[in-house]
Amino acid sequence: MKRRDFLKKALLTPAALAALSAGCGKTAGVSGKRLIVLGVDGMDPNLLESFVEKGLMPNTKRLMEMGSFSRLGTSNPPQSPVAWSNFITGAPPPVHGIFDFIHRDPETMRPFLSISEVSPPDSTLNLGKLRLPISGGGVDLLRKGTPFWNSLLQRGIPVTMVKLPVDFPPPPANSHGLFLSGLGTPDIRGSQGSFTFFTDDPRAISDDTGGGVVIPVRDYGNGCYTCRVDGPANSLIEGNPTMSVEVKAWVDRDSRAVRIDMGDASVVIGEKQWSPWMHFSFPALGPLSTVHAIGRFYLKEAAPKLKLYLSPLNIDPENPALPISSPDWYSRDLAEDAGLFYTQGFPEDTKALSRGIFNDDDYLSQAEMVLKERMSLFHSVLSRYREGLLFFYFTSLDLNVHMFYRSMDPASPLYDATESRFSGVIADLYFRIDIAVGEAMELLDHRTEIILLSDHGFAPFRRSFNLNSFLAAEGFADISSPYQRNSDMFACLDWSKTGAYGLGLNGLYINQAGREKNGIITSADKRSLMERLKSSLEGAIDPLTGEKPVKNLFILEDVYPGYDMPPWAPDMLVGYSHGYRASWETTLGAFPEGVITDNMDPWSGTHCISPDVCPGSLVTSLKTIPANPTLTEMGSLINRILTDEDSVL
Amino acid sequence: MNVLFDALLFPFRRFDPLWGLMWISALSGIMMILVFKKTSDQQAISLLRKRMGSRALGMLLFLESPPTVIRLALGLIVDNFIYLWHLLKPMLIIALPFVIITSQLDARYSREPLNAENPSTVTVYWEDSIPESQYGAPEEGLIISPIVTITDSLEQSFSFTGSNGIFVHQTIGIKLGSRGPSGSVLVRGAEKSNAIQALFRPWNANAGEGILKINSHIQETRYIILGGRWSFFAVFLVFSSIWAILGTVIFKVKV
Repeated sequence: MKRRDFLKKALLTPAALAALSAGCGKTAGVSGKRLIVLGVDGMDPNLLESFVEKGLMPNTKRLMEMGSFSRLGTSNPPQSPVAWSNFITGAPPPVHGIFDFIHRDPETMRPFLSISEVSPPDSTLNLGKLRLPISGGGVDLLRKGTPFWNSLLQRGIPVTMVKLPVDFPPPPANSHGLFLSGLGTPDIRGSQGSFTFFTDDPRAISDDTGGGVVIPVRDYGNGCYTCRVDGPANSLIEGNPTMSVEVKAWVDRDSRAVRIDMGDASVVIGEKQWSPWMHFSFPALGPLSTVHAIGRFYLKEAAPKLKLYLSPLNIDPENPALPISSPDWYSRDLAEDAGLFYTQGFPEDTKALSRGIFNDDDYLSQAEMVLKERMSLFHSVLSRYREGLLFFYFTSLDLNVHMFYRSMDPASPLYDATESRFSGVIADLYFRIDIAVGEAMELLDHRTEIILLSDHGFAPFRRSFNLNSFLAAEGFADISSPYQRNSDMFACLDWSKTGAYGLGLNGLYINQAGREKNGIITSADKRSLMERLKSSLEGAIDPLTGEKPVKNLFILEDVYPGYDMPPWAPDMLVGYSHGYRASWETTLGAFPEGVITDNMDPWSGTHCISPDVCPGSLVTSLKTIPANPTLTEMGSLINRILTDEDSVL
Repeated sequence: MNVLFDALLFPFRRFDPLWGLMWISALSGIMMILVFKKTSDQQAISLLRKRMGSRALGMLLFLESPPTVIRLALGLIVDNFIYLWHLLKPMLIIALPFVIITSQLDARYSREPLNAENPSTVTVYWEDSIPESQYGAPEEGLIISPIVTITDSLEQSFSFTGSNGIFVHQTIGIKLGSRGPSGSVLVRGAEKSNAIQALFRPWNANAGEGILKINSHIQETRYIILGGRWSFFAVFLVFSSIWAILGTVIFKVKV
């Protein structure tokens, strides 16, 4: 063979093999269809219809007219982690194991987040104070079950899931899959978002650590405040000390601005201004191991007192300390293209608003920033989309409706206290989502379909129901230390006289012997106790309104018959009525005075109620969709569309 | 110099910044190796290399004779010094354009374009006192922060950005070209010469009367190559070196 011929063959053979391989992949199941799924958390069908009728959502209206619109059956309980897990696995909670935001270990009675857990290394090499991990340890996704996209990937159909809820850490890398974790992704400290607020205003300083911490700082006369920013715990050092970096804030009270210096970086912001994303580096082991994070400062007030907010420190998508995308370069790639973005699952800082660190304007400025970022990410992803499935998740609508439902609900206790200029906030959000729908619709053609869906709808949260206080008042639980009523995790209870307790937003548990740490109810008595609880709770009346706060009390074994329940599963689910929800205090095992109180928290919309009260929405470009569709069926619908099995419809 | 390099680099403005930088690096590497060929004593270097090779071979052949090995090793050390002496002249000649090219590329390729998410923060350090009303409020809203004055340390700071990375402001006359169709980042003062404008010159010269120094910070660009994040200098150094090595083969240069 001549040298030239050899070179020709050498070049052509891999190309021919690659082409052949691509061709084989196509015949193995790729239909050539494309599907864009826009997952809009909390898009309520009633509000959607209302805004469509008012002409605020022309693109969605067009999609409804060309395809279909329906209410979408949600999960029970209708909480986002549960609902999206139903969507992902096509199965109910007993299969995927997510029943609430919060679960508890019955043996220790300790609460834990239901979505993921961080486990320490199994063994370490100890060198002085150093603790070098040898084996084990890491982050695990607690959601079980098989994701619907697995069969697509097996057929070689490309799958892109951006900001996918309940998917942290993301699945292992697959040559056809791109994943970016969404809801459930923690901040760098491992919480679901913990802000830091630096101030020299003594009125703002409190011991409350819910959602973030207030750090007192002091000006020693030169206008300089030294602010210590805490990062994650350093697991490489004995005792896991918290890593921190020092930031200097130079305040000019005349110009009402601050210069923030951190390492080589420096930025000036005025009052009511946000800094760009700033990079934080926490050296865990000198230069050998550094944890990277990003955060934004917001100057709420420069004078007379400094009020400087720092967002939760997010995992840096360009240099992630924990896995947030699969393949791992995907988050960096997106950040390069669309700019840095919030990686934590709950980007809008609702806790800062609830705690009064933010006012409505501050919160909305942050929410606007988050939405702009998300739109930028959406544009980046949409512009690269070529084949297969694209799922993109919007969280803004859910969190902002939670916080501003009061602005459009005259029956809300906070309606009068909410300025009228905020009355259009929710309509504006729907309008912004409609823009995204319009941009996706530009890709519609004979082989492309669009599905717009939400995990649940919304209802007002006017009255707080103290479930645990109710149980105590009705004799299902016994309070032995009344002075500890407001402490979390049942500190006031006498477990030897307690038959049931509430934890999480909808969970109701029997203090079962042999399962709970201090259980007293035998298996034989369990059913009758649950029946009594059902009767008692469904019969409760709100003395102020005359309404029933609990619409349904679901006994789990009746709702999901035939399934083996994991030990962390609740025994019952409280389906609250329209206008009611579990109080914040009761969700963590406190027993505040009074059973039903006005909800005075800006968090004024809810969906953690009876699932029939808050179905989700389904708008598609498909003329035919299953009758009475549910979120659980959507995965198989997506599979059928992309594998061209239309006959099943 | 800026005008000259604007013209020289004009053909590369069409490329993506990374590709532009790689092509410039390639050309620079080849140019440098040609300059080396012209300015060095190629015959002497060739002879020296042969001599060094023979000494090394001699050391291997006469391992059983330590005095011979020591003599050859000493000769090799002396030859190394002679080799460095031969390199000195061409290296000195190459160093000047290398520094100039690096500085010019630094001004064009090392920084991110300015935008709301990537503003530049400027700090002016005054010598004796901070004059009042030194900076009027900009007309076009390009300075995105108030000016922070730190009296104790005689400092004034502000952050500014541009629109789509390009920034022209008549009042204070700052002109920033940035990553656009040219694929480059240009940070430079405008034509007017007062204190504020000068700090954006690449070399931060002529800070102005009463000003001790001016610091400005614009985020560095990182180029993604093989999964790594390379600075402009790393790209330039590596790719110019690769092409310089290739140039030695193509143009038969003895180094």
